[in-house]
Parts: sequence; C-alpha cells; structure tokens
Amino acid sequence: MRKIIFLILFVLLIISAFIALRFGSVGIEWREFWHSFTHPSEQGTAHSIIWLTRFPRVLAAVLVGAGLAAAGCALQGLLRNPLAEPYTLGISGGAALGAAVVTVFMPIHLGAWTTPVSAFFGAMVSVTLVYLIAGRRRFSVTGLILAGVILSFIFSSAVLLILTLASPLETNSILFWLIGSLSGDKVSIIKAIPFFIIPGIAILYLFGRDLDAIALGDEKAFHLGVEAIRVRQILFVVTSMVAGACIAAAGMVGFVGLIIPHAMRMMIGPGHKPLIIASSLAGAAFLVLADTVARTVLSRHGQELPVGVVTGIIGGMFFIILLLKQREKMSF
Amino acid sequence: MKSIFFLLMIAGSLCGCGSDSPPAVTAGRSLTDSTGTAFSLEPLPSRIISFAPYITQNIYLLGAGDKLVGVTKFCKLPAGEKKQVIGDLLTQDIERIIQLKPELVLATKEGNKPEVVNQLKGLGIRVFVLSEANSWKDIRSGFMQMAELLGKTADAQKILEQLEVRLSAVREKNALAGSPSKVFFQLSEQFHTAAKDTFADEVITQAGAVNIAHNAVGRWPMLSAEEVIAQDPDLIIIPLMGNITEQAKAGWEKFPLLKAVKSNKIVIADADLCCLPTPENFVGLTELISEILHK
Repeated sequence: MRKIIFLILFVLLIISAFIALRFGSVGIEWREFWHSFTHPSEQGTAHSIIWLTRFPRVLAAVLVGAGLAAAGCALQGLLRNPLAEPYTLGISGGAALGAAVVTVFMPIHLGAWTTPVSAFFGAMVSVTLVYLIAGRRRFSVTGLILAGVILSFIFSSAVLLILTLASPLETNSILFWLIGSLSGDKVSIIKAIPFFIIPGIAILYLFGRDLDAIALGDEKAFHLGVEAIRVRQILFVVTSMVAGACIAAAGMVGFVGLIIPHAMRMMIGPGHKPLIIASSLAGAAFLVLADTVARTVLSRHGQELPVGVVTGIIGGMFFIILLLKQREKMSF
Repeated sequence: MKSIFFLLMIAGSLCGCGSDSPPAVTAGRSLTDSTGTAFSLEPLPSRIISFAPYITQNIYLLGAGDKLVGVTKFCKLPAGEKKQVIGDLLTQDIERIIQLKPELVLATKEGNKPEVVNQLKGLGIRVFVLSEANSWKDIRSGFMQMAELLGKTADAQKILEQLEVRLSAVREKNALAGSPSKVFFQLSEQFHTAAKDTFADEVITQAGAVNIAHNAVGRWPMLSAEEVIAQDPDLIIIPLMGNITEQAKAGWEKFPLLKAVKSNKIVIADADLCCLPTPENFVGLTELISEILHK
C-alpha cells in the first residue's frame, strides 16, 4: 500500500514538473516545446524560456518544497507539536533580518547571491542563539519552542523597525521577499542548495525510528534506547540547515512545511521513515504546482504572485477539506 | 561564522566604491553604464524594453516610442499606444522579455533588482543600467545617455536647451522674491516625505523654496504632525495617490492657523509630475511650485 502511495506521489511530481515546464506567462506551441525537449542544446527563444528560465525555477521549487515538508515533518515529531513548522525555531526571523539589513544598510553586491547569503547568514545567527538558549534548558521541548518563538519576535520587530526606516522601494522589496517567491535568478542558487537539502532529508530519514520513539515522550524513548536530548540537538541543527537553505532560495514560503506533513500523516500513518519520503515528494509536487499557478494566473496583466500567497490560500483550503473528512483525532 | 561576516564586509566595501558617481558621457562609440559595462553605440537598437516609468516617459520625449516593445505596469503611455507589459518594478516576467527579443533593456540602478539584471545578462540580453538621477545635473546627463543609446542626441540637446530657458525664467522670478518659502512634500497619511538627495527636494530648491524635511534623517523620513505644524510650511504638496490624498488634505484643514491652510496652498499634484525624474517633469514641477508660491 505504502509503495503504491510513494509511486503515485512520484508520478504526481513528474507530472507537476512537466506542467510547470509546459506552461508559463508566455505560450509556447507544442511543436516548439517538443523540439526544445528533444534538442536541449539548440539556442532560441523557446530554449531560453524553457531551459534557462522555467527549468531552474522548477528545480528550485522541487528542492524547497521537499526540504520544507521534510523539515516540517521532522519538527512536528521532534517537538510533539502539530503547529510546528520549519520556521518555528527562530529561523525565519533571523533570515528576514539578515535580508532586510543587507537590502537597506549594507549594499553588498554578490550578484544573485546577495539576498540568499544574507538570509542564510541571518538564519544561522538566530539558530545559534536558539541553540545556546535551549541548551541552558537541556533541549527540552518547551525550551526549544520558547527560545525559537521569542527570538522570532525580537527579530521580526527589528525587521519592522528597518521597514519603517527604509525607502518605499526597499520596503516593497523586503515585503515581497517576506511573502516568499521563487522569482528571480535561480540558476546560481540551485547549484548550492542541494548540498544542504538532500543530505538533510537523508539524515532526517535515517533518524525516522528515533523520531517515532520521541513522539511517545522522552521517558518512553529512553526505555527504547533513544536519547531524546541528543536526537533533538542533532535534528535541530539538521532541520535548521535545510530550512535555512530553503529560505535563502525562496524567502518565506509558508504552509508547505505545516500542511504537507499533516496531509501525509493522514494518508499513511504516523511512522516517520515513510512519512519523510512521502512529505518530501508531496511537498515538491505541491510547491511546483503552486509556483506554476503563481507564475501564470495573472500573467496577462504583467503581474506575478508571490508563491507564498498561493500556498497559503490553496494549501489552507485543501487542508480544511482534509480536516473535515478526517473524523478521528490526529495522531503523531 | 566570523570569517564569513568579515568576507561579506570586504566584498561590500570593494564593490561599494567607484560605482556611485554617474559615468561621464563618452565622446567615442561606446558608453559605460552604472555597473561598469561598456556598450557600443552601433547598431542602434530597434527593440527596447523599459524597466521604469520615467525611462518610458523619456523615450517618448525623445521621440523613440516606436522602438519600445515592452514597458512596466506603471508606465503611462500616450493615448492610443499599447505596449506589452513585462511586470512592475520589482518582478519582471522573464519569459515575456525573452519572447520580445529586445535589443536593449533600460533599467535603473536603484529601482530594479540587480538579480534580475544579472539574470537577463546571463541570457545574453543587453541591459543598460542607468544610475539614479535626482539633481538637475544628473537628470540631464542621464537623459543624454539615453539619447546617445537611441541615436537622438540632437533632439535631446534641443529639448534640454528649451527646458534651461524655462528654468532660468523661474530663477529670475526667485531672485525678485524675498525670503524663501517653506514647502512640505507629503507622501503618505503618516507624513512620509522626501528629504535631501531626492527629486522632490531638488525641485523645491530650484523653485527657490526650502524643503522642511531637507535635513531629516534618511531619504524618505516620516515626520511627525507636530514637526510639520511647528515648521508651518507655506505650501503643502500632496501627489495624487487615490483616496488618501483627499483625506490628507482634509486632515490639514483642521489646523486653520497653518499658513498653507490660511492661504489655501495645499496642492494636490499629479503623481507622475512629482515622482518621475524626467527633465520635463523636473522643470514642470519647479514651475508649478514657483507659480503657486509667488501668486
């Protein structure tokens, strides 16, 4: 049964990627489309659009979607909290502050790397602080969540402070980034984020059984031979790296890390090993589709939506339907 | 961690210098943009995309509107003209741009994201990045740069000469007036305004007046109502921004003792005239302010 679900999700991902390559703001005829598929090295308008513009973006969506969903899934188990998501432990606030500071005060020019590097740097500063604070409380669940939430508040307020000082254009640029978007040059960033996201997901998968044990409570986990504190330490760092890379690539794309793991849990049950594979596949497919909607829905008016808006609205409604269908209590 | 931060600082300081001053217009057959990229002036581009409303206005002013194939959502076109919309200032539809096969994209250093510029360059598209222009001198040289790229230098010179004549008429009028009047340029209900190094500030100065926010911190500061009242400006200009504009005007009318209210000098002006740094708008807005103040 599980294998069939994995297969379905995988096929879904392939179809989503195909749709994303096929459709965009500019219509391309089937003939041209196939031609640039069968002759991927031939230059031309269709080639530029499909291989140099859409393809890097689809790859980025696959990686970010998979990373966010897997990280969210692991954190929900790790913190025994259905509201946990990749941004719960203070990553988002730090990343936002990093991006905002660089946008407004330090005009460093690293080309396509400027915002990703500053966001990642900010996220890592914030994560380090959360780690140090939570460490004083022996990495208890409450310690981690409280440290994460409070630091997020502090950093978010600092971002608001910067927004009030920034010029209208800078403000727009930061706000657009905060909503989460896959627009812009993704050619460089997709050469870097796989090194964080793919091994990250693999490690989360390997810790699947430990997560199952921790979901029962620290004490029960201990009797099953799992050191909850140690696991939390390691997985906190791993999920932070994954989420940090996702944020660097796409800003704050909400909801993927929250709803995809829940939806998958409803479908295949609470075991973390299969759950992480299923979440990664479903997260990737979902974000690829959501980004296709974001790119095309208003393109006739010359407007692109931030993908975060689409994931929030579509994802939210989809999730409510799932909740209404699922009668019994959700299990972890 | 520390070393990464240090590297970032060094990278910042290295890249930050040298690119601020607008490059001199070269007499040869090539032109360098604000990112240091050299452009040959031949052949003249026949398919141009504009990334900013003021660039679009300048292109029409230079009589090269027929070469324009793509504009932003906010660009105003002359009646009857229709161009492909390629996005707003921050997000551009890259696919659409590729499809339009532009021979030249005109972008701005401050208004457009460097990532987008780099992405287009990576796709083999020529992007000329104009540096920001606010003062009359910089607006003139930016305009001349565009004229060179479009092969319209003679037209541009003629336009600028006529505008100079209009500006000196304003200056003569200023010389006759007494102490300079105070102007508040209101950009939002929260009293956002333009301080020094902005288009509005330069225009107010040219019109022989003083911008009350000239010395405020930052370029787009938010003043308090108290400060505006204490400064008691002779003129309040509000660019037209929909509903907010009338509300802002009505808000001031609660203070009948303010000079601007007493003499009915709260002026709602066209937003493009107030905010798009073209030579024509610079002179137009200067004349408008000077006229109201010397009425």
